Amino acid sequence: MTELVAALGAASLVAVVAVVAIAAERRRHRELAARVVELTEALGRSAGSAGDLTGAADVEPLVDVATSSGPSSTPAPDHPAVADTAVAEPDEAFEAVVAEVTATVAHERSLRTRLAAALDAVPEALLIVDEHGTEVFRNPAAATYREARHGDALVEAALGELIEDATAGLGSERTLELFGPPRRTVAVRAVPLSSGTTLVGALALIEDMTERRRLEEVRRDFVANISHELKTPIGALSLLAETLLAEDDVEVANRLASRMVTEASRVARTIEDLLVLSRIETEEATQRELVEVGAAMAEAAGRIRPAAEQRGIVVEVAEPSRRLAVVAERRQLVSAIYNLLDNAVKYSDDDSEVRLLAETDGRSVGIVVEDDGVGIPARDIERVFERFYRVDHARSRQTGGTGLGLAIVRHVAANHDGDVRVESRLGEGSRFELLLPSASGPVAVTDEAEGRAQAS
Amino acid sequence: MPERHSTFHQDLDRIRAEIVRLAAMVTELIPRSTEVLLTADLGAAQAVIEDDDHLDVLSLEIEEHCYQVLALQQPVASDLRSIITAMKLVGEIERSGDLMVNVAKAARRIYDAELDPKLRGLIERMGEEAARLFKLAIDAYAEGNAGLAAALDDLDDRLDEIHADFIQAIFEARHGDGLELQPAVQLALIGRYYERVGDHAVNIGNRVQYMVTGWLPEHAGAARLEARAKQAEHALHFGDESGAPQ
Amino acid sequence: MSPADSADGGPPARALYSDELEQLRLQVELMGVRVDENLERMRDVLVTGSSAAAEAALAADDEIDAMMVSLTERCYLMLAREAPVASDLRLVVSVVRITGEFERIGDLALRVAKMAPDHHLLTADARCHDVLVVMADDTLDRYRTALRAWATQDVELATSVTRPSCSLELSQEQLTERVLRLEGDGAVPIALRVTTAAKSLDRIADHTVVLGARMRYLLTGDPRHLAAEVR
Repeated sequence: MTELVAALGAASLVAVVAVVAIAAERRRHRELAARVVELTEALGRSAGSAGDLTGAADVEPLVDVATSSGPSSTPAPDHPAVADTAVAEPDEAFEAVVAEVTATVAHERSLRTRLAAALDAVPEALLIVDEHGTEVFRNPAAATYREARHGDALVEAALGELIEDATAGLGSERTLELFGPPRRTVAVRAVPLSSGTTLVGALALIEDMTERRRLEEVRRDFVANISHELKTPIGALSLLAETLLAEDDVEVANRLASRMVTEASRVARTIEDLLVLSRIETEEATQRELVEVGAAMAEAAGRIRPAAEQRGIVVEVAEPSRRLAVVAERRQLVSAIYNLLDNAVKYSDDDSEVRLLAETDGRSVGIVVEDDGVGIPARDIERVFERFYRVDHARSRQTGGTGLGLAIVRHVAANHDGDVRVESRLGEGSRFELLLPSASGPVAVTDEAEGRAQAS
Repeated sequence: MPERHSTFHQDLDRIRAEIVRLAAMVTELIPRSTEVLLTADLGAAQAVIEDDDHLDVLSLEIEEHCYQVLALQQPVASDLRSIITAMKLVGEIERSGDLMVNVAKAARRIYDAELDPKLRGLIERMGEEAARLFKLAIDAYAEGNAGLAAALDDLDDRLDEIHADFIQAIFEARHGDGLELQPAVQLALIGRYYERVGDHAVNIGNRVQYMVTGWLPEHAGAARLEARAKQAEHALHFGDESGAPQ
Repeated sequence: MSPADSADGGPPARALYSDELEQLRLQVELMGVRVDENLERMRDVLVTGSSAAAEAALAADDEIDAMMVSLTERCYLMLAREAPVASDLRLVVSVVRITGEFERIGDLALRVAKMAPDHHLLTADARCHDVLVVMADDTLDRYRTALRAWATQDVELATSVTRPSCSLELSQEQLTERVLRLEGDGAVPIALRVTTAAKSLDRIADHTVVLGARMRYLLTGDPRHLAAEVR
């Protein structure tokens, strides 16, 4: 939350400075213009009808700018000193002022251009209104909210309400949780802008907080989850050990001991996976080689089969072309496929089927694991790759997973410049796809293409 | 309040923006209520129910604005159609919102029921489909797109299919996993709420078509009636003629 | 703010088209009666499965559509030509909206009437069928109250139909409960047909509530009364 305030504060500061700078420049401009008017009049008085009209003509547009600069335009202040000089030496004084005005205008123009460009570059959507609530500036990020529909229409509505408050002198902020899809968290904030004691308008900012919120959640949940994952089995172990110490009955003692073995191996698995994960996270895939995808698939499938068969689950492997290959660290690749299969088996019903296949579009290779299991709720689908993230705590305890498998898959994908995607439907099953860049050259072709090549 | 000096088109643009905003509240409400139902979050359910007041207030405001524009600007022809359509859309949107509030209310009644993944998946899909249709209906309105508006009727078939699957799944859950009768009844009602949001989206489509083209689905019925009347007249006439030469 | 009746531009301007307004009122009532007849035919189909009643309903629905189209056009013409204000404006706009509700009710009645060929599925479970007939009777009752409210311009009657019907809600729950108890191979088609019919009846009741709210708003001029349709 403090980060939000700080970020919004920084952005609004930029804008306030910009607006105040423009206002100050404008005031100075007005003063100068007023002096030009006086001088022109003085010139007219002293030189009569024979005065140099070309100079006056040059000045005219500037006078126009000054008089049209809005209803808040203040009456010209008196400058007796200037007027005196003007009467004494009109030509010289006039030229000096014209030069000053020209320089100021040029300076203001370039400043304005830069400020506008700076505000355009601010990633937050930004909107400035005058003291009547009329829009005077909207950067490109804010333009998308104009005539918006659906969720964005609500953001625009909130913007309008906050600006109304801000032009009445009340700054406020509002956070909108939009369900989308996609789900978004959007913060809208408006502050009054004043120059001295006069209200000159309001500034509003819209910031997409989705990513920041997500990271905050990930961090918070990780700490909570890791302590849960380690504390639960260790707590069980010490309880079982205490009971065992006081137990004389051999049969009961045996049962207690075997449960201790189960719990201990659970901790061991979690720690092992954590080590694997941290190794994959820290060291990139350095020992890369050309890996035949079919072989990696067969190895991973072979490793999962015993566990799958125990529950009557068939792991169906569609063997890809022998030429399908990727450049990868072999161990990591096999581990990623194994973890996808492990996950599929864990969340499938007994006596069902898990399918493993590979496909390619020539540029990348997709290794696909499909199941007909419980599926993932839409709201959790973005988060399943987080370490220790659990859709259903009760179920994960039964399956005995470490909660790290999919995190490992994601890191392997990232290490290999790949990606991992998931589609899922509750009650129907899930489809995970590990995408890796295809090894260049003629190795990466599909069976079909190969068949066609042979036929021709 | 429309300002005295605003033009009709400014007023209409404003009303259109208000309707888009009202509809956005409902499009948000669909996934929100669905989540309330799936997570059995009673606090969130209460919030959905209370937020409905905002929807009601905005609906009445828009309707009032429409009356004011009618009285002050006295629009004719297609402009008049746009205002009347706007008034009718408010009703459709507002009632769709009520249906989603009903989902949140039903969520309170079944919060302790265990729903199997298949039922949950179908609820998710009904919610997604209803929201999709609703958004398309509003797109059709905002763009004055009669083609899209006309397509909504066919698009709604998918929601109807998911709804039929859902009823089937409730049956299976009743007989298989022993889903209790009361939650099953509530679920069946919930399915109906989603389906009806789809119906409202189709209605919005019909009204948008009318706004753009001046064509009402009822014109078809009226035309049939006229054709029948002509036919009867013709038959009578023809009967006279055929009788004459003999 | 409520549109003030006193803002009327005085009697002479009003007299010019007060006859036309009265005509409009009567035309709406006539349309309402046509819809009433189709609701009766719908009930007939529900009870007996009569295909003759279903066909009569189909033909009458075209007539209802034609009435709706002509009434809508007439209202548009009045709005454009007479530029009514205050309560007259409310009346003309209300007519557009009320005929729309009538038309929808007619549509839904026809939807049920068109189920005549599936009548055996509707009667397959006697209890379900009984509840459907009870629902149809309730719906018709409420519709008639609304129609009477229009004919007599009675606020009390209009208000009485804005309240959602408890007995209908109860029937709906009873029916769903019964449907979910159905067993055997034929259960799903029966369930779907019965629910479809019940859904149409339920929606007719909803539209009747809206009718009541619209009429009440027309008679009182208080927009807050529209909120009833909402709850």
